[in-house]
Amino acid sequence: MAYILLLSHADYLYALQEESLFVSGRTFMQETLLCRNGLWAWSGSFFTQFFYYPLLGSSIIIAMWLLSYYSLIWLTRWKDWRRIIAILPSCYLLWTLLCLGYWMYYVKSPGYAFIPTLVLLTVSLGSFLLDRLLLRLFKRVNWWQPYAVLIILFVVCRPQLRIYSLTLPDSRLYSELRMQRAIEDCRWQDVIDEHLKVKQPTNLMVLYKNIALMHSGRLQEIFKTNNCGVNPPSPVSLIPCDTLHLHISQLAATTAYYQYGQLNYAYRWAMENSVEYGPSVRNLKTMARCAILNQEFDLAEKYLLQLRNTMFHKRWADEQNRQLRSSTLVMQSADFQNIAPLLLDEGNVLDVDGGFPEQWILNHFSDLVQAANPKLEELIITTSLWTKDEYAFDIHFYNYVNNHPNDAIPLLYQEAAIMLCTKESSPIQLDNFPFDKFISDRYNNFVRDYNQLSTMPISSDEMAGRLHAVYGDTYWWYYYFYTDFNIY
Amino acid sequence: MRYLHFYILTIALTSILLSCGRPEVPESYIETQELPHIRPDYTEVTMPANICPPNFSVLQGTKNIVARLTAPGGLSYTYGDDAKVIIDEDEWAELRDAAKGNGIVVEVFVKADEEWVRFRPFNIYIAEEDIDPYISYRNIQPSYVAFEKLAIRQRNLTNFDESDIYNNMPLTTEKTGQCINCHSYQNYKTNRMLFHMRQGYGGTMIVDNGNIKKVDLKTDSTISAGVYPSWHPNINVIAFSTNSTGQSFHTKDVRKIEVQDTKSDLILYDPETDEVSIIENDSNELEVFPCWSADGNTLYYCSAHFEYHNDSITKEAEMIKRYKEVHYNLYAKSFDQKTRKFGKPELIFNADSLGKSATLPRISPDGRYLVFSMAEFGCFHVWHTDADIMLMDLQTKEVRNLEALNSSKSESYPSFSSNSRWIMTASRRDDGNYTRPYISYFNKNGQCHKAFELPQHDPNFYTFFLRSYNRPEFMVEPVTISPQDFVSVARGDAKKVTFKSIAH
Repeated sequence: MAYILLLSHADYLYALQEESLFVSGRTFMQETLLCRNGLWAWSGSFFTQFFYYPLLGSSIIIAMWLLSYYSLIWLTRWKDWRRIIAILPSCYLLWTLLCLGYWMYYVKSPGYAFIPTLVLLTVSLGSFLLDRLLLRLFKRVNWWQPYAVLIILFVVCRPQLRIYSLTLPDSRLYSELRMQRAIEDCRWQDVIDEHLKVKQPTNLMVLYKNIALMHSGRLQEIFKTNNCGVNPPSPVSLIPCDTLHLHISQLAATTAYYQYGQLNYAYRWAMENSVEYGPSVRNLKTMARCAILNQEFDLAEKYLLQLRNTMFHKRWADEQNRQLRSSTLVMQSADFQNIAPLLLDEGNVLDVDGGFPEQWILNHFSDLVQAANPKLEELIITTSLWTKDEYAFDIHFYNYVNNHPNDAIPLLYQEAAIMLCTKESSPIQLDNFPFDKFISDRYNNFVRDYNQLSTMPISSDEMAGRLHAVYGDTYWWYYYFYTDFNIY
Repeated sequence: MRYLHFYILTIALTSILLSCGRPEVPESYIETQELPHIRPDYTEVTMPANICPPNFSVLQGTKNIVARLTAPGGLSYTYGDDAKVIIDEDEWAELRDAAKGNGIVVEVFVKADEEWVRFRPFNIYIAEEDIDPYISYRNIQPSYVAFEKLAIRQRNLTNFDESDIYNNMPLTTEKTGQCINCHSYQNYKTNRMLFHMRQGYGGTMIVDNGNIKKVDLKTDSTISAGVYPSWHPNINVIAFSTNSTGQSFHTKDVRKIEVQDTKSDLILYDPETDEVSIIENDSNELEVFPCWSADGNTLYYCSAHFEYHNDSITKEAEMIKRYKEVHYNLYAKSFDQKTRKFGKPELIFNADSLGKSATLPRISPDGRYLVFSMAEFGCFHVWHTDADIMLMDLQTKEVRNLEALNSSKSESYPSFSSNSRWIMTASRRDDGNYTRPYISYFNKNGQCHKAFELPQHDPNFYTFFLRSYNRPEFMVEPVTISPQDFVSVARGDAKKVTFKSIAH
């Protein structure tokens, strides 16, 4: 049962080890042991790395639970129905492990995933062994002796047993994690497919989906692939004052900035989150990749050396290491090929993102005046539509048609221009551009249907729903009915 | 069978003894004129007469290495295990003492492709002079805004002992962190010292003749609490800057961060009366980094002239837009130790006229030299790759680059040892991001020798250590107050200081 539950959350378990780090060697051990609860953190981090293979990690943690179970039975000599009591702590830990959810980004105890289990194992096995020792030394005098030993050991270890949540996380977390992993592997279609499986995606899923569209050259499909994200509900905490407020800066700033070619900012958030929430494989990988593309080779080597001293990320580090001083290999890498056009956005700028990476990325690209290549050009036009920045779109559209006098205007741009040019403030003159008749007819139908529904006694949600059936794949629908764009 | 245990024990002991044996220099080898690639780079450096062993790794792609260290007179020891040269402390002391005022010759042999290669020998010179036996620094990740685990630590330079002076972990919670910074001492001694705490349990910890107190240096008439300190060498007063500081981030520049003051002044704090007074507060000047001269009759500091022009945006926003225009010059003000009055500012180095910015001045205890950090602009040179340490001869006012101390990466926070013969700097030459203490011999003729990295017992330590050495300071004695004693005082309320007057 535990196997089934754990392995059905394989991506989640994999993410747990990516958010953790164990480096073999004295320096890492000393640094970790100096932390509060250092020994637990060090040993917890050691075991968490086995979730790299979820089956292996699950087997280890289940073995620990079984050993705890039998230790409790041996200790108490329970033979009847009371044996069920002995399995309850393990069930509870399985549940809390799965309930950790979004807290995995925020827990400040390295190796947290395994710490409660290690504490349980220490308490149960320790109690059993201690009881046997006491028995041998003093003979048993009271029936309650094993229970007393158990309680004392539990009290000693209790501070390590903070539980963050007892409710399962929003299921979209798992979609986010699958998308995240697919992005790391440049499996763009998998990212898009995962996104399309979810009826109401989170803003982060929309961000990931658009990264995949961008890198697969399909950004024109941005509004055909549900661009209406919502904020995930904040996880319910056991401690009311400790409510978790999710921020993309912790969840995905490193991935988002990196994929949009903002290497310094990706590096910054990898560093900030490592400082605040402890070192992780994910952050180390981001810092190494940023350093390589920034040509900070000594720095990259430092991070890769850490990863080379892990159990499961050595191969990744070796692959990166080969690129380290070979510009040819770097330029041939999928990472570089994807990001290189975005590195030409503009010269250096001194700025702050206020802790809102998504907003910064959208504003940054939407506000760019010149595009050095087609990928960047497509990005800056679509981000101006994504943010509904009409002024920026007018400029970008004008530049686009001037730069491509002989090309057909992409349908998305036509959709947007037909609608936005009817606004008084717009400088776009409809007559000057060869719009497709299909687009103008469809837009006229949209306006007609919109006006018709506006006169009917229905709510705006219902109106949005009815129009979505026909125009849900258009920018017009997104523009008028997606008003819940909250940055977090 | 009855002797099995005996045999096993004998074999095990023999193995242990053999593994502890000293490596032998190969009988035959080929020679190369290349220097060996070692880390840290201790080739041709000059070290103090009381420094700990300079252990190093040999990065030649093989673990089979032997190093022979030979002092004048023929005293010689060999080392080498798993590509590391770990020198016994007692044997190093013998070698070092035998080579005082001279050099230890280091020969490195590497076995590659079944053949031993002897690299060109190099020297580790041993100066006649000692170095201060202790340094202290803050271990911090090179982060931007976030901070979590911070410790001000002290290190015995004659061996590898290191201990916490103060660690923020006891007073840090998941929600409320505690930043600690700017440890400072009077005259290299620790009976008068200070450091700041920000956020949780905020205040400045002042140790005065062994007594700890916590004060809040912010008054209604000053910009902030005290920031960058300098304890007067003779009397019990401390000069601080007060700063309104912000951070912003480069999108492409490898400098990555700009730390900027939108306004800053200088104040004088009297620990005996708990009064502060203004030293400098020109609204068009950004005064910072006070530093007393060795005789205490002059206060050196940096100041950048900056006038805000744009009322439509905040000062922070304007500073971000015009960040390259901020150039700090070096100034000096005379100080009367009896009346505690300051003279007028005197420009002693106009970095602005060179299109540069000069920061972090420090004076040699013999009063002859001033070292400072210089870069293209700004005040936070630890992030500026072009930042170098410069030397001013206070007799001639000649300024020159201390090339032997500098690298292509950032050098900042220079300081002199108490005998003026050693200069320490916080350098990022290893990898560009993590600051390490580098020390250079500064001879009586004002010449710097090649800098060496603070030795560690494990030569690979710096590779795996993901924290910086921030604000390295020399000390002639260790801090003896325990971290627990600091924590006890830190838990209490900070005493508010009173604003007295303008001190000039």
